[in-house]
Amino acid sequence: MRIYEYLNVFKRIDYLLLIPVIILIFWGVINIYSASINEYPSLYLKQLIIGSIGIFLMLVISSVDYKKIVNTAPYIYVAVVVLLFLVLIAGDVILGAKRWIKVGGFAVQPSEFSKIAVILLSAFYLSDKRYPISIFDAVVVFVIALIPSILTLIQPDLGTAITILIPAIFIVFLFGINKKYILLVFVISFLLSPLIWKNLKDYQKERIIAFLNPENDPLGSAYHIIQSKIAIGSGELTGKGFLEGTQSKLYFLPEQHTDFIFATIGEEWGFLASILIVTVYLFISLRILTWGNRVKESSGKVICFGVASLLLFQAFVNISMTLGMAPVVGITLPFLSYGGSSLLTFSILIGIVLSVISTFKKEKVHF
Amino acid sequence: MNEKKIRFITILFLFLTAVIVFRLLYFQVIERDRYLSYIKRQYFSKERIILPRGIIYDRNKKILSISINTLKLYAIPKYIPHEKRVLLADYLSKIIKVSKYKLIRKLNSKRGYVVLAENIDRNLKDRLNELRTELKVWNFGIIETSKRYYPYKSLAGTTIGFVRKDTGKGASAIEYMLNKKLGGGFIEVPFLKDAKGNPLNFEINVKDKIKNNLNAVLTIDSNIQFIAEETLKKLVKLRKPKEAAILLIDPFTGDIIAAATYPNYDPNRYWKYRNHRNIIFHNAYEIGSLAKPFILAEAIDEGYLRNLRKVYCEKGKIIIDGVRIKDHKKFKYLSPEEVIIKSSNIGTIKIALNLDYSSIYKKLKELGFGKSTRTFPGEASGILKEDLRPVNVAYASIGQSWTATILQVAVAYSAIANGGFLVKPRIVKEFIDSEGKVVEKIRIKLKKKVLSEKSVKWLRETLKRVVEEGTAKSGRSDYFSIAGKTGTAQKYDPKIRALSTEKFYTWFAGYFPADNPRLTVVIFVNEPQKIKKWEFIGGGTVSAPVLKELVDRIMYYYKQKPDKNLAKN
Repeated sequence: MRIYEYLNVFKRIDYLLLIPVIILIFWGVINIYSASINEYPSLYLKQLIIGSIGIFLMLVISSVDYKKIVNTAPYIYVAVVVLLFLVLIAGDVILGAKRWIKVGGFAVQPSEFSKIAVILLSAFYLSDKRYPISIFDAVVVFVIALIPSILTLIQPDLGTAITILIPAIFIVFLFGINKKYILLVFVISFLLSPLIWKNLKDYQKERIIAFLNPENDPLGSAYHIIQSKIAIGSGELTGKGFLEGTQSKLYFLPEQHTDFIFATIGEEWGFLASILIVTVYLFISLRILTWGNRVKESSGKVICFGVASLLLFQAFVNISMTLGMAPVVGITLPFLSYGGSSLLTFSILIGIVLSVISTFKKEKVHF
Repeated sequence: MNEKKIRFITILFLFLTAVIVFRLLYFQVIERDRYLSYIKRQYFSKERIILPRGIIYDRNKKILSISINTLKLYAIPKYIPHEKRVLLADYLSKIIKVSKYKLIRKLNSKRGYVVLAENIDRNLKDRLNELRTELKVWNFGIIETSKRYYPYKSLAGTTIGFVRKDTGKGASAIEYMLNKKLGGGFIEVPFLKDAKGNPLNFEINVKDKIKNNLNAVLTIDSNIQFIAEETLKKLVKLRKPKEAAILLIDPFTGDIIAAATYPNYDPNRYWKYRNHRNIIFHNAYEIGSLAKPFILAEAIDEGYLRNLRKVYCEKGKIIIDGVRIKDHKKFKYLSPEEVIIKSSNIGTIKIALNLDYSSIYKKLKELGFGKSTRTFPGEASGILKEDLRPVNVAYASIGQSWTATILQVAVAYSAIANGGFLVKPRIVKEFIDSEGKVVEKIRIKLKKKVLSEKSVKWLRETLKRVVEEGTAKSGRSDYFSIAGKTGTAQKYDPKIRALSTEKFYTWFAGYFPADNPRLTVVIFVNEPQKIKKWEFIGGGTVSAPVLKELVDRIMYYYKQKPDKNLAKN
């Protein structure tokens, strides 16, 4: 009976979602190998191990009823917020920012995991709410997102802080809040922007200036953008070939295996492979969004909408950044960038989505 | 649930993706040239490393052409502090023996990258590296490259050819022909700036790039080549011709033993010469009377000579198809042998006109005329077209109106020397690896028999007499017997639109020793000058006189005893 149950679990997995994700993970390992082999010869192995753990986690989580996970959301949320505080107090300073904390020998980036906490707690809170939700509920969801976001912003990590807020906006919008209110939020934040600008760190201001006018200071802040554009542009239609990229290999391109992995891919594999990757992200996001529309239960919907929007938006901002369309804010390219916290976060999120889909299929059979 | 909202989000997702796709299209397809040019700007320079190539040996394993390792010194002056420039120039001038001020001037230049010195002895590498570490000037560097060197300088220059110093690949003659076997070429090493704009240097391992180059062993004997060139020099000094050549081949194997040409060049400094042609292979000329023995051979084969005792030579003038053809002397009656020995045009023509016209052309073609032997890159084939009008057969029989390369002449005369066989010329004997083991042998190809026993016998007797008592008498050696034939072809002069009476090709073709041939020899001169006013220009007066010295020297080199009875002289 139990074995039969397990087999059913595998049957209910949405392979059209799982397989593209697995492809992305391995594609990431290959390109991290190319981008980092000269500098750090063992990084790709680390990514391969974490990627395998991620795939394992996805499969395990997909077999658990997501409602059980949603019910633990408050604890997860509290734990993440505590960790974020700890980072501010005792975090490791890397590249001028406190983002990491040592947990059992591993450097962990709690701000990445806070994305899971925010989506789960929103799902928990909205699980007994009906469409459309009230303004009060919308505000609650925002506050849920805002707490870790602000804690991340003062690390400082503008990019991750913004991405934590993204799912909340989409969830609130899709759960029936009128466009007017969302517009209002944008207007308010626009009016508040001078205040935000004042509170930004100098390097963050520089990056935004560099984004608006990169040729102004080619060897300074805009260096990332220019080198990334050169790398991608020189890839042409079919790329220079695996391990043949000159920009990323010769250290012209900074962060070539983390935030700028897309530039390495663009340089070595060219236009056709680049649009293929973009299409894979679109496919995954739309697939999750479609399931979110089909699922009846509210918290499941919240999870699907949150994950879909987070994934597409984060991929979009990261790629835009490498293409000089967005300021350089340190956010990763989901599944492809080097970094254990990011990879595990997205694997867990996909795992929860798979569980939502699986549970939905199971209930459909029963009723 | 609000379907409209889901649709809105879907459209938003599609829109964001489309934005990225268009941006990628713009970068990677439309604007790619701009970004490619950015990359080029990040280089200081691209430096070529010339890869070593296999050795070319002569048949005695003497080195004719070799790649030697050299060093190239460069600097990126921008990153060398002023006080270090002077120090560097000071020490460097002592090591490589170049003027200190010249080096300082180069180090003070505003260019991003300068070559300080080239072709530096490789043995200085350690000392130069020491200097680099001692002075801590990392932006002074050494590139290991190589250079083609020809130890015998211009010896067989047009035959060996040269390797371009910028590409490391053979560009002419044998060097060009053997590009695939000898290897070589170059690799380009980019000198880059790193992220901070500092130059990046890295060690290049050239050894990985060298594929298994082979070494070539030629059929050339550099000693005989030297003798041939000495002889040729003497001839050129005397006659001041436009072109001249001496070719020696082994009549039995087709091996090219010596190929001396004038003009010639020194491949070590190939760029100083405009003309790199090798006239032995690349040009075709009218062969004049050299054609006559083959006409007689055809006559023997057709049985025409059997009943022919004497030919009436019309006192030096004959009119065929309304065209007047003259002889150099007013001969009356000549035996067929005498026609060859005295080289009578009219005698030959009258015999030729009694033969089957197309068989004459067929015989010439069988002897290899009109077709390239494919021994040498860019080899000419000569022009031999069948034209059956009597006047053309007449001209063809005395070697006018058609052309042949000097090599084809040597092949045809080798057939007389070796008993009637057509040989395929060979200039590369074998390929050996770095340990001297033979990897590939070029086989000797004896093609079909082209002259009958009867005609070979007749020709060998007659050609011997040509040198002993005939037109080539001036080439007669006291020690060694020689057989051969002289030839003189009038050049067509475009000014008078007729055959010139001033400009000639003069020839000698033959073999020695006459009874036991070792080498076939062809001596060719284009437009020799008269030394004396009353002198008659011809193969006998121009080409033959150097013959005896050439033959004597070669036979002494071969340590052969004279085959003539010395007591008689």
